[in-house]
Amino acid sequence: MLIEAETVRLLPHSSSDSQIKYRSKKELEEDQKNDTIPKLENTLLEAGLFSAEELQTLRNEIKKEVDQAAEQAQQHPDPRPEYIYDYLYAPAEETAHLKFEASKPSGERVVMVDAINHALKEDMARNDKMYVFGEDVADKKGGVFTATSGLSTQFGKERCFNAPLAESSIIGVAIGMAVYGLKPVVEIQFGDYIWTAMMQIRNELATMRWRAYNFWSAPVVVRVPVGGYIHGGLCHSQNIEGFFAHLPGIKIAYPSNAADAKGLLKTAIRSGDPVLFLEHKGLYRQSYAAAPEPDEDYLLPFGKAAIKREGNDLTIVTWGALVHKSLEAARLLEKEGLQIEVIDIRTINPLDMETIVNSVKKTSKVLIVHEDTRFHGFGAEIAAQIAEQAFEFLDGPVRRVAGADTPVPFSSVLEKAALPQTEDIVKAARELESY
Amino acid sequence: MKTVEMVMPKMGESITEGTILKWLKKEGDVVGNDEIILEISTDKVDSEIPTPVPGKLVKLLAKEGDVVEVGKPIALIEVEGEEADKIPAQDEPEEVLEAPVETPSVKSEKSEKKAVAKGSRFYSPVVLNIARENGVSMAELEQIEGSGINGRVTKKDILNYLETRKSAGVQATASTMSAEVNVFTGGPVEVLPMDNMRKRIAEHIVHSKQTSAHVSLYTEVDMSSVEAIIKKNKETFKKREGFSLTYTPFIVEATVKALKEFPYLNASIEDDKIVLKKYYNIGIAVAVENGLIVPNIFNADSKNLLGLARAVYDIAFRARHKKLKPDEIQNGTFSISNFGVFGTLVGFPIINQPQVAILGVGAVKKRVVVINDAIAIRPMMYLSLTIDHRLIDGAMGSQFLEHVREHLENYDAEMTV
Repeated sequence: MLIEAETVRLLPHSSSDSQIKYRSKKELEEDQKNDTIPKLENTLLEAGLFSAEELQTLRNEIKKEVDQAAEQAQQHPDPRPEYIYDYLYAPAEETAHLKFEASKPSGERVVMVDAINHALKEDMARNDKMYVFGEDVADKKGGVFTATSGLSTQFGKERCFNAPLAESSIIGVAIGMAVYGLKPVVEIQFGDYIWTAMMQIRNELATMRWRAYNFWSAPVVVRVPVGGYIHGGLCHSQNIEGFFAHLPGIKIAYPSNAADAKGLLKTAIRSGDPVLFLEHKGLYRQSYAAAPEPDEDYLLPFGKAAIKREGNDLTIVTWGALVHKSLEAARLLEKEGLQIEVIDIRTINPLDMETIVNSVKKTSKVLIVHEDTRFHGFGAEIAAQIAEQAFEFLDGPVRRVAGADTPVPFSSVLEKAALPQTEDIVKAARELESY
Repeated sequence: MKTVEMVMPKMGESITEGTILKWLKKEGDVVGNDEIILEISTDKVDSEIPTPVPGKLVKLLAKEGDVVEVGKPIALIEVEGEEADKIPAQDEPEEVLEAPVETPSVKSEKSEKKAVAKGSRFYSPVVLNIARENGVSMAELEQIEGSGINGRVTKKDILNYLETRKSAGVQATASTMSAEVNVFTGGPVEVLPMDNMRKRIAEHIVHSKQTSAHVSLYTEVDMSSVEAIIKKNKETFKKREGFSLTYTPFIVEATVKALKEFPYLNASIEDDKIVLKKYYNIGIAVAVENGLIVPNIFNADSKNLLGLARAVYDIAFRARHKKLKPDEIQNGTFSISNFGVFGTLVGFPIINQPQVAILGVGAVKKRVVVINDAIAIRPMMYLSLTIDHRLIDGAMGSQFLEHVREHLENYDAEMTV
């Protein structure tokens, strides 16, 4: 059912507004006649459903209730300054029951997109409040990258359904469902198109629990394929973690391999916070991002980086597709006698600074490697935190290898120039080592 | 009336900061021309600092113990009348003694470049931290070869350096005394913190022991001629110069002559290279209130006996009164320690790095000696020499010592100083 209602505005939009300045007296008087409350009262009286006395009593009761509420609010003590961080995220006790890394991934080797598909299937079977929707997610297509393949067939079109091409609506609907108590796990088909949903994400999704002081929460999981190296051009290659890391209240995962993807996605689904779950398109079916499949209760904690390779000479901090290029660079540099430590941060927010700082204490030199544009990329935040927390351990400037400050071009020659390559990492690491 | 900022003075070429040791004047005190108002310690030396202008000390901007960058204000002084107009924008401390600029005539191009780079090179936070934790002084840090960009000392360089230093002997640890350490089993004790100078001496001495292979030799010298000269000139010298003639200038002169004959003793070792110094800056160990300091007589070979006597007196006096400049305790090429003034007969001093030898001077005492098979009484002095066996073998050390002895015994007893 759709109701279209034409309403009047009787009072200014805010106390700083005076509608006398821009609306005629006549128009305002006309609107007064259309005030819905006296209109409803007249209708009730004429129909003989209420007497004038009964209406007056009702009016008094409502006024009393409002006054009491106002009085109560007035008397409530002011919040203390330290309340500022309360309930930005789910309280710890809400996730205390989760057992992290209870097993070792040891199943059949699986590619990343299949690990994600299995995580969704297993948790939909486990939790009947879980819903999956987005553009083209239902069978037979099962998502443009097949991440949601088989879900609508197995769980029905009630629980896995296609959404209109309207990202803002996808997020808005998911917020409503989550506040209501369901578990929406939605897909934004490409990170490049998430921007129309930015208002919903920033103003509603990320703030829900905090502004309601834990009365409401919106634990939506938003799965988003991102990243380049696939000749996707400027609208199918974007990295978005830098923008969203700037929003307090939303957690961000960016796994580099199948096992981490499954473990982190399951944690996202079973936790109480909104999560932006970034999946690198270039890694979906890569053999080097495949891994033995973790079991169905394998959970990886957010905020725990992985040391992919140990070394004493220099630390590379990276994530997503650049984890693999960094490891390749480290292998090449090993032939030159350099021992490079490679850290995969795995989640952008929360960020595991402890692991990074410990590594800086050991190597004293840090190279941050990411695919997103360099200027104001997430690497800048890591560099700043290293400067704040580990300045005294540094033996060289914190350096970055990152994407060019341009859109990602379609031409393969230009794409190669815009996105960080292994040789860029090797060169930067060599320079920093010899500093 | 005008208020003048007194700034942390530049105490030497490589000094960038100083520690306020003690304010000798308080806020509100009126200070006269050049009156000493505070003591400052740098990582080289402690100094008394006079007011840049006469006036009223209105505000102290730094507390005792504060480390202040050179050129940063430390006090405000209110000046009256004409004086106010004479104040220069930035006060430079008066040159107390002109230290000659050391330009060794022979130096490889490579080491020349390094020397330039070392003075101004950048030290990363972690390198400075490691240096501090391991008691590596700035002077010592400046000696380390850097493999990084522009000769920068990298973390690996200093760790390798420490490893070498450690394997050369016991590890030097910067002792910071914990206030909680008060349980001793032996009996009642008094626990005192080491002051700056003590820590620096400890560092320096241990570093030397770990660096050089110390070997000591000693001989005895008949000081009859020198004693006769001192006796003969005593009155006139004192009257003319205002201080007494001592054995020290004779020993310095004899040493410089012998150094010219044995250039390897006026040298230092850099990596696998021997650096022979063609200049003679002789360090004289001076006992001061809390320890020991070794100021240099620069270009001692260009001074006659009277010049050396004046120089010895000057540096010893200024060392005891905290008037030395940091540059005066750097760039020595050979050192002399005269513990004989305290009555000690013989001792074996530790080499003053990066030098390779040090002369120890014992007390002059009358002893029975055999001369031409006859027994005689002579003013005798034991002279010891500690050498770095890495560079100098016993034969050369002994010959050097014998030459010093001969020069001392062959003074013309009739000479006038």
